[in-house]
Amino acid sequence: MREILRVENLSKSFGKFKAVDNVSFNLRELEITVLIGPNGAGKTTLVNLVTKKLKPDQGRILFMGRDITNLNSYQITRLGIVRTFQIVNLFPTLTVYENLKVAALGSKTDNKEIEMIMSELRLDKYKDVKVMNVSFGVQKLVELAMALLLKPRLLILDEPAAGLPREDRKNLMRILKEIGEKITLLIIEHDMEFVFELAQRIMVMNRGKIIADGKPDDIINNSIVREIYLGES
Amino acid sequence: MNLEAFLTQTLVGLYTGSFYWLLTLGLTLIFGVTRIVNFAHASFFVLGSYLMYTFYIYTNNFILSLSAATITTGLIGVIFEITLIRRVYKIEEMYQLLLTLGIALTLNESQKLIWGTSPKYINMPELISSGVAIGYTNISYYSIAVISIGLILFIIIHIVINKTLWGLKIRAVWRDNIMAQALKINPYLIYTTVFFIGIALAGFGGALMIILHPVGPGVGDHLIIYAFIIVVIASLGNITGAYITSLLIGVISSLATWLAPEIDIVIIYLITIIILLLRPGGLFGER
Amino acid sequence: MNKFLRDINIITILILSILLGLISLTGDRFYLYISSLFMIYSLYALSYNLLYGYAKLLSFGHGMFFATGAYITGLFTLRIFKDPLIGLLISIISTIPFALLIGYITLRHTKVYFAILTLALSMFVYAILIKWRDVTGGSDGLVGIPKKGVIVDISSPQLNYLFILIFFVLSSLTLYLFINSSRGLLIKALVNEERLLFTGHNVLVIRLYAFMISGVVAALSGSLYAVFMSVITPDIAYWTFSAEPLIMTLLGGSDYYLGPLLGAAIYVSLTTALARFAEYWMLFLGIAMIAIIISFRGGVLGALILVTTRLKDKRLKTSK
Repeated sequence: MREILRVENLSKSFGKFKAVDNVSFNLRELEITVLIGPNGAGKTTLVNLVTKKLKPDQGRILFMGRDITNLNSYQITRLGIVRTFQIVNLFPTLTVYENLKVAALGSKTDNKEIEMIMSELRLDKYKDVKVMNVSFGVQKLVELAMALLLKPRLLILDEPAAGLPREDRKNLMRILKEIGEKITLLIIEHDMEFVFELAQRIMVMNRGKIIADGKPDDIINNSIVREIYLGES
Repeated sequence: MNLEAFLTQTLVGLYTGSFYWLLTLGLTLIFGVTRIVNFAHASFFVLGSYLMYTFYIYTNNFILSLSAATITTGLIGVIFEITLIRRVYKIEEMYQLLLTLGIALTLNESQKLIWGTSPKYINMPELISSGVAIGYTNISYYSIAVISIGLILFIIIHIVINKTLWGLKIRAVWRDNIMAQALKINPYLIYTTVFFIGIALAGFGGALMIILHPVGPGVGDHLIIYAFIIVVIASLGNITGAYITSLLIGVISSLATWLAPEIDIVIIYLITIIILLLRPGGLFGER
Repeated sequence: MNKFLRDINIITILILSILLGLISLTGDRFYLYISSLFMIYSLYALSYNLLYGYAKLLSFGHGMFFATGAYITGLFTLRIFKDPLIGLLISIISTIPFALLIGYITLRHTKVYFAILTLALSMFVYAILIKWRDVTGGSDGLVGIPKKGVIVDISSPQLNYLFILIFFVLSSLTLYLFINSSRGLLIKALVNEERLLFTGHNVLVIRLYAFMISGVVAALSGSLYAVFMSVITPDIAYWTFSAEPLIMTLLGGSDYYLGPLLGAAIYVSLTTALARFAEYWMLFLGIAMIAIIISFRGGVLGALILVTTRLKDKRLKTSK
């Protein structure tokens, strides 16, 4: 499998606090990687660095062989790295359709695809409803639809299942599995059931460093990981 | 170029700058502590002028009127703070700015209704005529007094904020509101107090100004521009910067009007734009 | 096409245009005057709301485009070629690079600095207009801007009125169609700047686009003003004039396309028809502004819509 993302020596500090401490890793194409770790471990910060919401203090990021360290958010989105947010972050005053249209305009996708995605994710009936008026679960789907319309090569999802009721969670898992067959996924998650259902590879972060990285079975049995999770609770 | 004329013009500039300082000190204090950019600040300055005028007409006592004008302006400011501004501390800056603009408009129009549209001034020839002679020109004691008051205020504010316990509280709220609350400092009390001081200072400045300069509608509009230009060049929230920049703008204005009256205001605005483009955060950095 | 014909904003504009057209038939100078002013200020306010309501940019210098639009038209028709239509077109075309330049300078700054920078820039324009006597006439301004031109002759009040009416209808419709196009959608998306960046869009470019169109429409309204009044003075560049479209927009309601029109109507009525009470009305506007910010941001139009939807809901409930 080819390497799609390579991160080298990435660091970011806020004052004296080292949020991301000299992190390096590769992501392989079409692999579903899940990033786990306790709160404050630096997972979201790492994602923010990769997606250029934040500037790294040091380090390099290569995407499909190309150095993207100095690009900004909209540029890397156009290159194919798409992310979703932990807290739903859409265009509140625009309708569901309009939200999707903005995404379609970003990747120069035509309206037919918008219709297709809406029917696949069963968003049709919300088409003309303002996003701020739909339920949380629907908002998450809209966000996912937008991400897909951006034609990602690498899709980064920040806690996609957070706050979703059980039904929706199962639905989401199914959808992500399907997506994962065509698009490389990097998912930050806390829900362990979710994690082990989906993950082909797990990276564990703690205090700004990646402390474990491998197949799900190996990670379960990893003593350091157990200490962090069982020791901390 | 005549050295004596240059010195005179510079002094005039310092004098004007001191008034700008009285205007921007309050603006900066209010911004530093509450993060509100008070569009109505010059309206309160002018309110101080009008109040001074009215009090002086009735009492004919300079000191009494000055104190009364200052305190009354401050109190009116507090009324606005408690009833209106408090409600917008937590919402977007855009709306805060619009609210203070609305207050400015309301104050300006109220002033027109109460005091009329013709300029008001106080006639105190004793204050203006006595002075020090430099060569052929006469520098009035009054202008020296104003410049000195500005300087003294600067020193006092510096001492109070940096060396007193109360100043420490102000600095705590300035830096980090949440932290201050954790330290059991009541931020709302500080906000109201700082508002009072800031607006009272503006009123004080206005009251001093009407002694020598007539005040009428439009004066506030003109002053608020200069106030904004100064605080933004000085970096929003920087007190020392505000003092230095106020004096600088006063001096540059004065020299420009003397040397190049055809383009004096053009120069000021051009300088402002250039500085803001090159150093958008202002010259001094936030304190 | 059908969808547009049924769109309430378009219907309103068309009905309004017909009413305004009927006014021209009466020939009543007062109504012609007040309606002309309404149309000019409406365009000015619409252009402002493109920035404020849609692009979420608070500018205090919008008057600079109105003023340069007015002065370019005035200067061109007085000194170079005597025709109001050509003058107006030249003015609009010259505003495009001017607005792009100003936008490029100002839009990279954060909200408060952007507001103050636009303020300083418009005062700079004011300073030039007032000091450059030889060209701009200084504080006396430009007088006797011609209405009788080589191509169009709008010397008669009715023709002048029609001239304004045509531009009013065309501009308000075009702007509306624009805001509902794909480009317009991207401008509406500026409500969430971060999300827009992460959707692969260059936010600065989108803002620049909105700024440019806004500036051009403001310049158009300024040009119409110059020809209509025949006399223009530098105070249209003073910052207080920049605050007027802001007040009109807030008053009418910035959330709706036609809000600024309602605000302009209220404003013009208060300041001209009831000029005797002008001071009181300005005070009232100040208080209204405060009230709107503190409690109800939707403005008058917003309030009307809220009331009508509540009534509609009540009716639905009772009919069931």
